[in-house]
Amino acid sequence: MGQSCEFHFQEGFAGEAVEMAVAGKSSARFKARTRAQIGLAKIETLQLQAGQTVSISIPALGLRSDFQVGAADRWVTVNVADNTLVVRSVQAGPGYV
Amino acid sequence: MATQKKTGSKGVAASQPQAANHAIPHDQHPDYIGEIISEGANGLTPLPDGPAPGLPPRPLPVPPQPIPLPFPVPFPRPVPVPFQPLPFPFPISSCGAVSGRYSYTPPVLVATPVPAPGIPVPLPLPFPQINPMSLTARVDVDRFYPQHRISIEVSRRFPRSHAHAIAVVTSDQCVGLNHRIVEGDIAYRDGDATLIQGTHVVFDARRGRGKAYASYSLTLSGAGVATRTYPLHFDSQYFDPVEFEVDQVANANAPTTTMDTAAHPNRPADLPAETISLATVYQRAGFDVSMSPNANVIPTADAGANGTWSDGEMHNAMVAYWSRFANAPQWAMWVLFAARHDTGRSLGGVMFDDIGPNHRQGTAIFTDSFIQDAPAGDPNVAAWRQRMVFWTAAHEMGHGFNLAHAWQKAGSVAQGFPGDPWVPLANAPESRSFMNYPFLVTGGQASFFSDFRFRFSDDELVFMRHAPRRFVQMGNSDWFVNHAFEAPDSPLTPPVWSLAIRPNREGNSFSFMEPVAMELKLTNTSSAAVMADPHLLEDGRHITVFVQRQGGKTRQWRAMSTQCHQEHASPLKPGASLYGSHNISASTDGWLIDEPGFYKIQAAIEMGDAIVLSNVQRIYVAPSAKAEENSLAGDYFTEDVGRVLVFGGAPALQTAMATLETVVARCPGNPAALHAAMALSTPKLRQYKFLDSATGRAGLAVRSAKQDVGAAAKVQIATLTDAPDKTADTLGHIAYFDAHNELAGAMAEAGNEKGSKKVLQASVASMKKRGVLGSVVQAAESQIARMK
Repeated sequence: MGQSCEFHFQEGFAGEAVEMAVAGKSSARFKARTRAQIGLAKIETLQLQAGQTVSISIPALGLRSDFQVGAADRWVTVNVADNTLVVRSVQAGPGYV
Repeated sequence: MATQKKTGSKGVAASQPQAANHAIPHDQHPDYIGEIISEGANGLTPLPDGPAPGLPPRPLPVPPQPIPLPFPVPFPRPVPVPFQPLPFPFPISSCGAVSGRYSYTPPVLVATPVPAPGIPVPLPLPFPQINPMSLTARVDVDRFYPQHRISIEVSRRFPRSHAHAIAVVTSDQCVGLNHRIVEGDIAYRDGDATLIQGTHVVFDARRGRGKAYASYSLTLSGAGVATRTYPLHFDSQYFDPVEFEVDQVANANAPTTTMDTAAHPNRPADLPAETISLATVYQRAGFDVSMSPNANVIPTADAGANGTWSDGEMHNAMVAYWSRFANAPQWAMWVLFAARHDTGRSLGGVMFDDIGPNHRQGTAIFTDSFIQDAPAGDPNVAAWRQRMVFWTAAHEMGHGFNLAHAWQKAGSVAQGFPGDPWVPLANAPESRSFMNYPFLVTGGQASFFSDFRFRFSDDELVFMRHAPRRFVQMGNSDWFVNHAFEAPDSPLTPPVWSLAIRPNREGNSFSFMEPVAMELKLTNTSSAAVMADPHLLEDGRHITVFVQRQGGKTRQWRAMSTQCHQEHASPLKPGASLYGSHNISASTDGWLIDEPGFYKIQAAIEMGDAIVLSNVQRIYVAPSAKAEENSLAGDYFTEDVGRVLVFGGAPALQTAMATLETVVARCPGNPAALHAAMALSTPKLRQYKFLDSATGRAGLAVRSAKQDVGAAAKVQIATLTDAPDKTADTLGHIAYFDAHNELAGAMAEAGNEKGSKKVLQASVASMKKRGVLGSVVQAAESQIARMK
């Protein structure tokens, strides 16, 4: 039985292709561009098992980050800051205005 | 001289624990500065034709004289300040508020006919009146949240040009009864600098026969220019007018346009208890707000089958329901209260209008979204919700004024944002502004609202009140585009041209040392054929390109060669395009792209009366992974190497040619080696002329180097065909296929028809693979068919 986990791609995306892989297997590929007026590029929902590793990468920028899913993780924010992918689990569903 | 600023009454401040149900008049609000008082002034300003009056009574009465007052009604004085004993030393000078918008229009010049000798003067005809220029000044030193700026706009009609300048106030003195002198130094300029000459600004407001202000002037001086004084007319205590229309979708909650600042217990202890409205918020930000009486309720059928709203649906609704809609810049905004966006409950509101030619005219607030989710245990859920919806509405409308989020202030194109800050700004993730997210500050929303005063931050107010108006006005500059690589004034007529700049390759990443080839595409976007020089983009003198490395200065690219030829225009059909390609790494004053990092590139071209701006292309130059490349960099990034690469070889620049030979030999995997190979071999395709000065100046002679088509062909065929995609990517389509043609031509001329044909066949194969325009492929195939 998996858990639904929302990945919120927020700031720093400029239209590059983003790839997501779970346990080494590709699960999503899309282009992400942040809408500055809401600070959000895309929300991608995955069905995951606790303990699985989600790899998020932006090949064009040579960026990659691995995130290990915890049992309580429901919302994960992903930002590009200082040429680094910053992936964090958050306690509540992010809101945008 | 000491100066005090007198604010409105403190008596209504919110030490009241209960909810207020009243609005506080602006001039009675504690944050309102309606008067300044100076001690120890040199006395009251003498009346123009009489003795100085005695000390002014307090509060100041409105003068009874029937003289035309420059202030609108209600007059912001008398200020009901609490009684205070007159300070010592005497006398005291008192000056009312002067913030607002002023204008200067020079005397109208009427063109009069000059009679020719012997011809009778004709009867007077309605000759056009010519206003050569107009000036608007925005003085911001008192009333709500003064930013201590004087901004000046000048427009000249013939020839049409604009200028904008902002002075930072350095001195604000009340030198007599309603005689106020505000001085500042210009710190920001935009547009034609010759229209606003000088560096020092003096705003002078003084009374006339009565006690009210009666005359105003603005003086510009400094920087060695002649001092100029402009008499001003007071237009408004606000900086610009704006109209809001609030519409509601039938299934959404009623619009929240007012709120009680004291309704929720978590608030600043000294926050005045009052009922404020969206109009109040923006009036205090400096705008003369009017609320449209044409509010609509939109049937839910227009929300689409799924009941939620997409940006496109909202845009269409705006076109249909907003009484003021126009595809033109105007100080007006549409505010829609809808239930939910397609994105879902996580979207509380959006300034959806970043599509089409006129951005920032429409915003939406979603009443069935997370902004209804009060924290568990909140002491007044209803008040929390009302405040959050009100805050969201003011926030989205702030985007309509082109304000970014507080943590995005420094965001730039280089970081993937749609524009750059209008002036360098620092992110302010902890600010208590309408433009920050309450739930993102340290301590969360509870911390935010405990210190939030229902206002915008100072730098946001400076922008709204004083930035060039096209940056702020709805429907004018594109969303987020404020500064540097800025959008032009939006045309009132549909644009004829669009200009695109692109690398024409899969990714936007380049290798260290790799020359950056950019392709320009100018398209006729009108519905009729227009005349244009077909070679317009091939000649660099017509094009302006700016290159900015992230965090660095913006530099202008200048073509190393330009052509002076007879202009010949041909009709360009609707939708048809002109193309050109340029190596924009190297300019006449050195290399513009010579370090790893992010760069942004934008082009512009003058087409008749219009300047057509391209998109901003962002590229990334990767750091070098090889020691050879780093060691060669010093020799490579020179003006001579740049010239050799741009000109396709220059045997006379022997050092540069030797450097490129080293690049080919030691960095074969770097795309720069492909450029180098082409530049080294191209001169051998012809009898390359050079100036022989071996015998001194007297023996100067033009000679030709030996042509060696075979050797050149061997190098170029390998370069162009061994890894065709890699070579086409780095040279750019236009240069890549031009190189095939030049090589094929030289081989055919040297008698190698078979080899020439093979080169062209390889070219056609690459064209087809890379999706080149069918007409170009057909032309190349026809050329092959004509060969033996």
